[in-house]
Amino acid sequence: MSRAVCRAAAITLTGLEGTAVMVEAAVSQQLPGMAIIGLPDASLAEAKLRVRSATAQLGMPVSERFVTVNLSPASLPKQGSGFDLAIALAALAALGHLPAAELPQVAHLGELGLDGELRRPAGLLPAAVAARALGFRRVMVPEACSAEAALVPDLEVIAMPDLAAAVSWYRGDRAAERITAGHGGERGRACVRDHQRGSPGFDDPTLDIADVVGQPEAVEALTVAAAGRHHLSLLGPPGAGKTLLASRLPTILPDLTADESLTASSIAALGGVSLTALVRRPPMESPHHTASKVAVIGGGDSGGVRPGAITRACHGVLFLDEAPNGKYTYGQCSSQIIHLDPDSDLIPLNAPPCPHCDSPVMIPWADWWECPRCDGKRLPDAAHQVPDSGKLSCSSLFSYEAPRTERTLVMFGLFRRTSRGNSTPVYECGYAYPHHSEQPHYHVGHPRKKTQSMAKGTGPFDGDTRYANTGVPPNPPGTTNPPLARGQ
Amino acid sequence: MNTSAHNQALGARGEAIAAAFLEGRGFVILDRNWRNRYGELDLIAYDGRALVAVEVKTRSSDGYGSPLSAITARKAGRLKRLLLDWARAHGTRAPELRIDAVGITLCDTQAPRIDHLRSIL
Repeated sequence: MSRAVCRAAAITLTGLEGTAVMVEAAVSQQLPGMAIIGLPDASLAEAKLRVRSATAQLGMPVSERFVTVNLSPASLPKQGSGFDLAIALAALAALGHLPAAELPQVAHLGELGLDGELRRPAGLLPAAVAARALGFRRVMVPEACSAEAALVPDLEVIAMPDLAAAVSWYRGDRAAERITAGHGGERGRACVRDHQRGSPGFDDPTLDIADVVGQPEAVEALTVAAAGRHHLSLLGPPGAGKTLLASRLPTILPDLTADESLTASSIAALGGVSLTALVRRPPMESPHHTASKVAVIGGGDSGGVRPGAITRACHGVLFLDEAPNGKYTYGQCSSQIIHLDPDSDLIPLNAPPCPHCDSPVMIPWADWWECPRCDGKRLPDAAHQVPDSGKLSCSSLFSYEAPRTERTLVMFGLFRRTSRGNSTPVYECGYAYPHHSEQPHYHVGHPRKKTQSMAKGTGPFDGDTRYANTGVPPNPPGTTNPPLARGQ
Repeated sequence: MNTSAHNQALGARGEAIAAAFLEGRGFVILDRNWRNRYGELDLIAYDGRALVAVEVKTRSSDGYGSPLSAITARKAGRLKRLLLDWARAHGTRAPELRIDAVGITLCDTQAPRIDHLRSIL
């Protein structure tokens, strides 16, 4: 009646990295019971009680025999309740209640209730992504989150409401409507905005770069940063609009590509909330400058790896406000915890102004600077050393101490490295606007202090009624803002 | 009939069924309901190689789970000690000692369901 050893496949996650786990069940001649071996954590070890109760409700109790369940590879620690379905099916197959032939070909993801109901385990989407990457063609998931698993393209999703349905499936009762082909989230575009993460306020779909009044140089800087995926730092006195500008950066970034979107969605799905659509807009994270190391870098313990702000900003914007107040010095961190895309680097730099047109917008390349205003003219770099990009990595951001000459510094990190043309890949490693070492400072138009441009009556707040009572004089008719005054 | 007497009668009936079942499988029943100050052995049998203490557990329905699940590891450990005591008291030698369990579910309408576990320790 019973087979010697039956196997069912499942997926364990370490951060976003998935590993195929073969759940082996064997029935032995001992007093009734169940033992789960293979380094389970506390919630996984409790699966034996859930499985015993759920199978008893089904009328096929595994509690009449001793079942040894091994999670192979046995030396890899495993967490969470997502193995319940695989354990129950392997045990039932070992007791001869269902044919075991197909169990190893399907990745099973699901937590069992005591009545046999299937529930969503944390990290369902990254597990489904990992299943596809590991070569599985099918996943069996709880019905309630089949839409989430179906976000993965080229993967057949078998949605099951409970354990009884899963058992009948393997017994051959195959209702076609249970299978959903992964559609890569094409159907879910409408609710993209619902799944933007980050701090409240930055998710607001009403944010728009058009909200920025004046500040043409800063807007140009944002545009260049968004177009070229450059890092960006903003300097200016309080109230100059740095945070307002920064919060609009995601709105001018393009939609994520399919692969980026899957990665960003997987990170979003590591928590307890079920996703119904892929994250298609670049996420934005703005950790407070007093945020702990774990909050920013991520952390975790034997209960699993937890993503920090850097990870959640993957393929989006990491916004470090008031950087000089906090130190943002987090030292070295493990790439497994951070889960950076392999092409990612974060390099804050201090760009020199262009010697030809005095533009503050400079893009550092491997050994030269590019000025976007001088029609992409490449300027050999003599005075300003561009750091050896090969040595720079994410950790260099965290040991970067921002200059304390200004009260506020905003930095953006866009996690990407690109290659351009036929040159070897180089790091597009950021630019600064305006540069803090320029004396005197060009203050991006300040509403309360009368900076040089405002004193001339050509402030950037022209026509904006919000500044009606701030004492900022309007631009005289027919005038425009003067060019940047710098280096005097 | 009160509950206790009912259970005793049920147990005795189960032990008789188990003995007949084991004899049918080639066991020789050496002793029944042997007891000392530490407890009681339901059946002591010899299967041609091993001296076997058999714990028989009988239930009239499986509403509370399998009868075998009522045998705890502690009880199995006590059976082992009792088997050693029995072997010492009777001067019996065997190349192997073993503890088996027989779970019997009695149904009024059907034949009793018998579940034999070998070497439960």
